[in-house]
This record gives sequence, C-alpha cells and structure tokens, in this order.
Amino acid sequence: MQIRVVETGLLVIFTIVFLWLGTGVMLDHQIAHPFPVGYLASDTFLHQSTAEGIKELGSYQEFPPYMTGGVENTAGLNPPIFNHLAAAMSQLTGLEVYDTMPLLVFVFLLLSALGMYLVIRRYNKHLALLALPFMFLSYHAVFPLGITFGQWDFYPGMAMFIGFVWLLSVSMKSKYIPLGIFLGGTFLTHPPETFWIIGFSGLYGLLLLVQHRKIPWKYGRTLIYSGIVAAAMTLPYIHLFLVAWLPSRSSTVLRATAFPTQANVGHPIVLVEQLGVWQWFLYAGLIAAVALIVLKWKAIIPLLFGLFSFGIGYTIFIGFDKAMQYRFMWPIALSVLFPLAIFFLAKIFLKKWSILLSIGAAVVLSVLVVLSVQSPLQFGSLVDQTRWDSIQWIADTTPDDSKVLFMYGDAYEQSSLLYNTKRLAFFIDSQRYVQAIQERRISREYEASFASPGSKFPARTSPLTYKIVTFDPEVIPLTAGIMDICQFDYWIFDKVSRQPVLAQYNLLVAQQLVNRNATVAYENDGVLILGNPNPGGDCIEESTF
Amino acid sequence: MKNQLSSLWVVGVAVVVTYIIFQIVFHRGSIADNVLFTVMLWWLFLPGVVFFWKYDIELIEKLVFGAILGSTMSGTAMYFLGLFGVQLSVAVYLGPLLLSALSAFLVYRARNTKQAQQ
Repeated sequence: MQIRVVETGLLVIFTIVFLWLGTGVMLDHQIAHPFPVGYLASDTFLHQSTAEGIKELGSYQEFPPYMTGGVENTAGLNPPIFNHLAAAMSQLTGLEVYDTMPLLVFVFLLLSALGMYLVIRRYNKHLALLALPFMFLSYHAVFPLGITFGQWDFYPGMAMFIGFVWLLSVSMKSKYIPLGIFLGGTFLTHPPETFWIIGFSGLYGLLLLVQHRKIPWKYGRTLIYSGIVAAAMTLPYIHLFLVAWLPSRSSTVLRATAFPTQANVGHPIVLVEQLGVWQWFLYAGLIAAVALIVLKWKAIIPLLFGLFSFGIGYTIFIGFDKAMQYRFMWPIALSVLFPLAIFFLAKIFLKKWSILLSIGAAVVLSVLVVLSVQSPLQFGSLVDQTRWDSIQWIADTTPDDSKVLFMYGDAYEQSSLLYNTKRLAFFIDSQRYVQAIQERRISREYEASFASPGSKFPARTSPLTYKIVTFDPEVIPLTAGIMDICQFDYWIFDKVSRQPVLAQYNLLVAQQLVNRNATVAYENDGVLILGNPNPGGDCIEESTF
Repeated sequence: MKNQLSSLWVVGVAVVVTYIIFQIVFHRGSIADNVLFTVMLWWLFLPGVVFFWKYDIELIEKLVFGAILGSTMSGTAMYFLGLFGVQLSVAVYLGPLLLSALSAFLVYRARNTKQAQQ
C-alpha cells in the first residue's frame, strides 16, 4: 500500500514537471491568452482555423468558404476527431479555440507518456519507473518541434496507438470493442497511425506464431472483430477519404527519399544523434531488446513496440514520408529501451532490487535528464497583439466577400494564419517585394498568392457523392503570380518588421495609395489597414524613389 | 450502491488532482479557467472511463486509457452528430452523454451476463 502511494506521488510529480516543461513554458503558465501563443508555423493555424470553422458553422458538414476560395458546400476533409475536441473544449469552457488546441496537444502527449509507462509496467514495474525520466527528452533539441510546427493530429493519434498496444497485453472480455475504437480513432485523427497499428499487430501476431508454434486464431479473431468495429465507425470518412481526399491532393502519399530535409518532409529533421549522451543508452537498449526477444522468442509487447518504433523512423527510405514525424515521439515510444541494458546489467550485481530502489533511481535519472534537456520551447508566436487585433478587425468588420491583400509582414507567408480573417486573403511574395525595393520602384503589380489549404475541393452532389471543384475564376482569377493590387478591397501593411527596410517600404506604398484616395480603415501600433474605395480602378501611381 | 458511490468518489479525486496539477502548471492564469478546463476535459473523457470502469484492471489504467478512449469516442460522436445536423453546441453535451450511457449499458450487461453464467 505504501509503495503504491509513493508510486502515485511520483507519477503526480512527473505529470507536473512534464507539463511545466512543455505547455507551462510555451504558454507562459496561463490557459487563456489574448492572441494565439505557441503558433510558430503555418500548420498550427491550419488546425486552429479548421476547428474554429467547425465551431462557427456548428459542424463539419462543410469547410468554411473562406478556406476554399469562396467555393461553398464542400465537405470537411481533414481528419475530424482532434479538430472536434478542440472546438468542443472551446464551446464548453468559453476559451478560444486557439487556446484549447495546444493545450490538448500537451494533454495527449502526457497521456501517451503515462500510457507508455503503463504498457511497460505490465511487463516490468522497475523498467517502467526507470523509463519515465527519459520521456522528458520529449522537450530536448528538435523533439518538441513537432508541436511548434503544427504536427498536432499526430499526438492524439499516437496516444490511441499506445492505447491499442496496451490493450493487446490486457485480458478482458469484449476487448475488440476498445481495440476497434482505437483503430478507427487513429483513422479519424491521423491515418498514418492506422497503418502503424496494422503493421505492429502483424508483427506481434508473427511473434505469437513463433512463440506458440501454432496460428494464434484467437488473436486473429479479435483483430478481425476490432477491424469490423473500426470500419463501422469510420466508413463515412473512409468513403470521403477515398473519393474526395485522395483525388483532391496533388502530392503523393507515399514518397521515398534518401535525403530527407526540412523542405521535403515539412518539418525539422529528427536524428538519433540529437539525443546527445542518452543515445548510447538507446543503442545498448536496442541490442538488449533484440537479444531478449530472440533468445526467449517471446512477444514482449513493450520491447517489440520500442523496436518497431525505432524501425518505423527509418521507413522514409522505403516510401513512408510520415516516418520522420514518428521520430518526434521517440523519447516516449523508445523509453523502454533507454534503461533496458543498464537495468539488466545492474541486476547481475544487485540481487535484491526493490521498488523503492527503482523509485530512487528514477528520481536521480529524472534530475540528470531534465538538467540535460536543451528545450527550444519558449513563450512566443508568429503573431503579436497588434497583428491579431488587425486580423480580428477584418473578420469582424469588413463585408463577407471582401478580398484582402497582406503586404509584407514577417508572419504572413505562413499563410494559414490568414484564414482567421475569414475573408479571401492574399499575401505578397517577399522575394519579389525585396526586388522592387532594390529597383527603388513602387508598382501597381506585385507577385502574390492566395491563402488556401489546396486548390481542389470535394463539393457534395448528394449525401454520398462528390465532385472535385476548384476556385470560381471570377472570384479567384489567379491563385499565385503577378497581381494588380488595385483589385483588392483592403490592403494590410505591417508598420514594424524584423527587417525595418521592408516596413519602411510598406509605408511608402501605403502613402502612394492614400495619395490616390485610399482611406485609413484601421490602425494600431503595428498595423495599418487601408480601404480601397474603388476596387479595380486606378488606385496607385507607379513611381520610383 | 456503495460500490458505485466509491467509484464516484475516485473519479472526483481524479478531477480534483487534475485541477491541482493544472493550477500549479498554469499558476499565472485564472482559477475559473483552470476549473472549467479540468471539468470539461473529464467530461470528454467520461465515456472511456465508464467503459473501463468495471474491468479488472488497475485504477490508473482505467483513468489514463479511459481518457484516451473517451476522447476518441467523444470526438467521433460529435463528428457524426454534426453530419446528421446536430449543432456542436448541443453535440458537446449529447455526444459524451450518449456514449457514456452506451458504455455503462455494455459494461453492466457484460457483468450481469458473467454473474448469470457463474
């Protein structure tokens, strides 16, 4: 009883430290903020605006038209569960969606960590306690950048995967129901985890076959039943996925690359070397895990899961481009491997290994790991109060069919941010803008792009059929290229920038527009918004300076 | 009846402990935000916790995996209710409530069947 109390206390302290180092630091130890905090890449705003759309429209029957270039009645395509949870928490608590989303990401990261602890604990309590400290590496080096780069659906998907793995080690009646819910849940949250679950289940079945030297019929039957449950709960979305999601995506789902870079995977590259000194614990653990499984030929679930998770991280070389994303979870998924070799070596010398000794060792290890953590997480965001206020002003004040052009701003090329205007938003291409400065000219035409999550959308033609549509050329004649800025209803100028010359040029262009009848529609310390009284007319005099 | 009360007591303790943890981590925020966030988070977790409640597994397993299962169930329910025209403002209550009731039904039916077999 006393041991259990100590263990519970340790888990509570682990939870506090784990949340403190992650969400506490990133969100400045506050739940509510006046503007989105912790949003450091376009994808973060893509999730936030999708959930905001669900909350605003009341369901996910359709995408908000401002995210589809004005195309209406298009099906909500992104996996729905996480977006719904964030929208629901906002609805239930009154907090903003931009606050509930990152909070939920950390909740699922924590649940994954505690879940992994419990998966290992079913096999060995000592190992579980010793694995906990290594989970703090989730905040070390590039590992937390999966959060700041907006790989948000991945975290609840992994929590469900770990839930599935735990269930495999539990004996319970009607197990196929929660197994099926976790399996289907991953597809409705982040489909790559569905494929990882199928792969892991197959591998586990293979080991059962080798271990028992007979086909594990009961296991197979449970999997088939769980597959039926998963299919039943995902069928409408699978249908949408096959007939609408895949055809509307121009990029391939499978993409092998021998040289993964941030540019071709969409987020920073995670390498095992970034674990620093702890990588050597991992290598030793990998060898020990292989030895334990091969020597005993036992399907030891946490070890198998560790080896599987390590292997998955390298499947990018055979075409699974989501493998790199999986590596963000290595500190948790591989946590059983870090202390494995040392634990078994130490047991040779220490015949009596008590739980209290494991708890003491876990505390010491935690201190060492936390001290070694070099976290990139900090309180920050792509937007500040002035920019957020200006975006909110556009959403609240301008006519619904307004077309707005964001002139240069440090954050605007992370274009998902602009969905928050809830208008058809375009943004200037910064390279061409710089070129104009170098040529010392103020022009009527600049290169710009339309902010949209894609160019093809599934418009519903009946409850079960869709046709792929794209933008109405009368509304969006051009999605990217040289554009006449006089066609826009509003222009947004940042008055301050990390590169002051760009902000100064912004104000020069603004002055030229004002000289030709543009009016100041909104202004604060950081942003100036001009209104165009005559869209399509002659709004600016081209000149040099 | 006594067992059910003790179950409620344990869930209550879990909610309070969660609140205390949030209050420590988010100490610069308001108490009301932390209370609401905690309570509503457990509301979304509820169907999973109910589902695992009567199984012979450790309490912490019921809470942790119940939370993951519950959020999966609640999210799915709200999505489908939305597809059938139920507004999110209603689905946030109806979804978790329906699935908690369904979980309770499944679990207690399985338990009664087991008792009858014994």
